[in-house]
Amino acid sequence: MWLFLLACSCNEVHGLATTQLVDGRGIDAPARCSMDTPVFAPNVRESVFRPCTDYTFAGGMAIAACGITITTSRIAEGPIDGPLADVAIMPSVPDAVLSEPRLTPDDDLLVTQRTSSTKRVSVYRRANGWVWDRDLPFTFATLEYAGVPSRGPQRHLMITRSSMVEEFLDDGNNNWSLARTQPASVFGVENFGSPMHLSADGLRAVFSAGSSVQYAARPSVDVPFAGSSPLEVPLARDMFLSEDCSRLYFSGLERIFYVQR
Amino acid sequence: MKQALAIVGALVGCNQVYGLEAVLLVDAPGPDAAPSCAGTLAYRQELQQVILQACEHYTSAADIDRALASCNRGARRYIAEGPIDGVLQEVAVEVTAAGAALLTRLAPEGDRAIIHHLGTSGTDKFSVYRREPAGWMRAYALPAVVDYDDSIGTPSRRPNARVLHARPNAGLVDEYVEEPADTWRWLRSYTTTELGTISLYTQFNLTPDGLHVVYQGFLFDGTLAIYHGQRASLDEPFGRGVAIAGIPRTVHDAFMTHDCGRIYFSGLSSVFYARQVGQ
Repeated sequence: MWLFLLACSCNEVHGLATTQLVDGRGIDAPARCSMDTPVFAPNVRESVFRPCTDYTFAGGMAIAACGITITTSRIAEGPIDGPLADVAIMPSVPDAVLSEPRLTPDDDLLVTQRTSSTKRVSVYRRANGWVWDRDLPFTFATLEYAGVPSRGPQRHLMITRSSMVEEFLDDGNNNWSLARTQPASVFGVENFGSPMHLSADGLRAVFSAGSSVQYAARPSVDVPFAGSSPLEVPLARDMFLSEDCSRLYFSGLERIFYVQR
Repeated sequence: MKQALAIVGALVGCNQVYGLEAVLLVDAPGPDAAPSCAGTLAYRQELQQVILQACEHYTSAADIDRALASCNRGARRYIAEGPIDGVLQEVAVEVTAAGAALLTRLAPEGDRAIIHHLGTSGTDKFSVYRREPAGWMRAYALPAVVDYDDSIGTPSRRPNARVLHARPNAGLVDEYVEEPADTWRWLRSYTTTELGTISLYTQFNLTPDGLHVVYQGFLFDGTLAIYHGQRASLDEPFGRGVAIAGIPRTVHDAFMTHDCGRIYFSGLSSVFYARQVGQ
C-alpha cells in the first residue's frame, strides 16, 4: 500500500504537470500495426531539442541531419529520443554535402551526397564511424528522394519522383531491379512532396503530398500499394513511422517531434 | 525506520516508474525567480503545447483570462475564444465585405480586438471589433490605407494605446497612438535599419505596456530570428531588436505576455509557448 501511494505521488515529486509533452518509455501502447490507418493523438511530443530533420532509427539508435542550413548541417546519431552527437562520416564525392540520412532496419545508412550539379544516394556501413560502401544505382533530380528501405535480405526501396514512385527490389546481393512504377494518382494524390519511407516489413508507407501526410498499407510486398489515406497529424516532409506503428516522428520548429497512437 | 527506508526507496524508484531518462531536460517548477523583461531574453528549449486545435495567431488578455485565435477546420477558418491555455470555442464574428478570413489580435483589456482581414487591401483590412453579447462586432476600420502584404500587431493598453502596422513593401513600420479614444493617429515610422531587420513580413506584437515588441526578423547576413525590442517609455521609439534565445526561428505569430514570462507562437498546426529561462 505504501509503495502504491508513493508511486502515485511521483507526479508531485517531479512536477510532471509541466512535462505533458514528453513521456517516458514503458507505458506506451503495445505494437499494433495493421492495414487500418493509424490514428494519432493530437498532442506532439518533443524527442530531440536540436534543429534536425530526417530522423530515422533502428536497433535503438537514431540518426538525423542536424543544422540550420543544408550547408552547415551534420549527420548526427544517438539513442532514440536522446541527444544526438555529430558522427564521423566523409563524403566520397569531393565537395559534396551529406543530407537526408536514412538508418535502415539492417543498420546501414543511406545518405544523399549533393553537389551543385549532382545528387546521388550512397550506402555507408559502420566501421569506426560510417564508411562509404557504394552508391545506389539510381539517378536523382533535386526533388527526387529515396526513402527508408524495408529489412533485408530482399529489400524494397521507394524512390519518389514528383508525380510517380518507383519501387526497387534488392535480391540480397545489392542487385537492384525495378519492381514497379506507380503514378501518384494510384495513391490518390497529385504529386509526392517527400520521400516515401517503408516500414521494416515493407507493408506500410508514409509520405506527404500537397498539404497532407498520407499512409498506405498492403497485405504483401508482392503486391503494389493501392491508395492511401490522410493522417491527422502536422504537415511535415520527413515523417518516419516506428516499427511497431506506435509513433510517427517528424521535424518542425527546429526540433524532432513525435505523435503517439 | 523500515518505513522511512521504504519511502526513500520508492521515491528513488519514481524515475523507473516514469522512465524519466527521457525527460531529463524538463525540470519541475520550483523556487524560480520572477520573469523579467530586462536585458537579453532567453527562453527554455522545451515547449508547451497550449491547445490541441489547429489554430494560429493566438493572443491573450490576462485581465479577463481570455485568449483569441484564428483556427481551421478543414478548409474553413473561424475565430475561437476561451480561457488562456484552455480549449477554444468558435465565437460569432460580424462578417464584413472585407471577407471572412480573419486573423485576430486581442487587446490587453479583452473587450476589443483588431482583426486583420486576410488577403485584402484597402481601408477595411484592419478593423477594431468590440465584444458584444451577440459576439464580436465590427466598430470601425483603422485609418491606415494598407497594402496586401501588410500586417497589424497586438495593441497596447488604453488609454493612449499603441499599435504597430508593418508595411513590408514600403520598408516601414508605422506606429499609431489612440487619442482620444477610438481615434488613431500616425505617430512615427521605423525603417528596417532602425529595427535591425531587412524583412517586415511579420507582425509586431506589443506587450500591454507598449514597452516591448516581438517580431520575426532577418539580419543582413541572412540570419533569421525572433526579436525583442524595448524602450524605456512610450515617448521613445523602439531601437534595434535583439534576437531572443531559445525560440525557434521559424515560428509564426510570436506573442509575449505582459511580464515577458512566456512567448506564444504558432507551428505544427498548433499553438505553443516557451517559458523564460528560470521559470
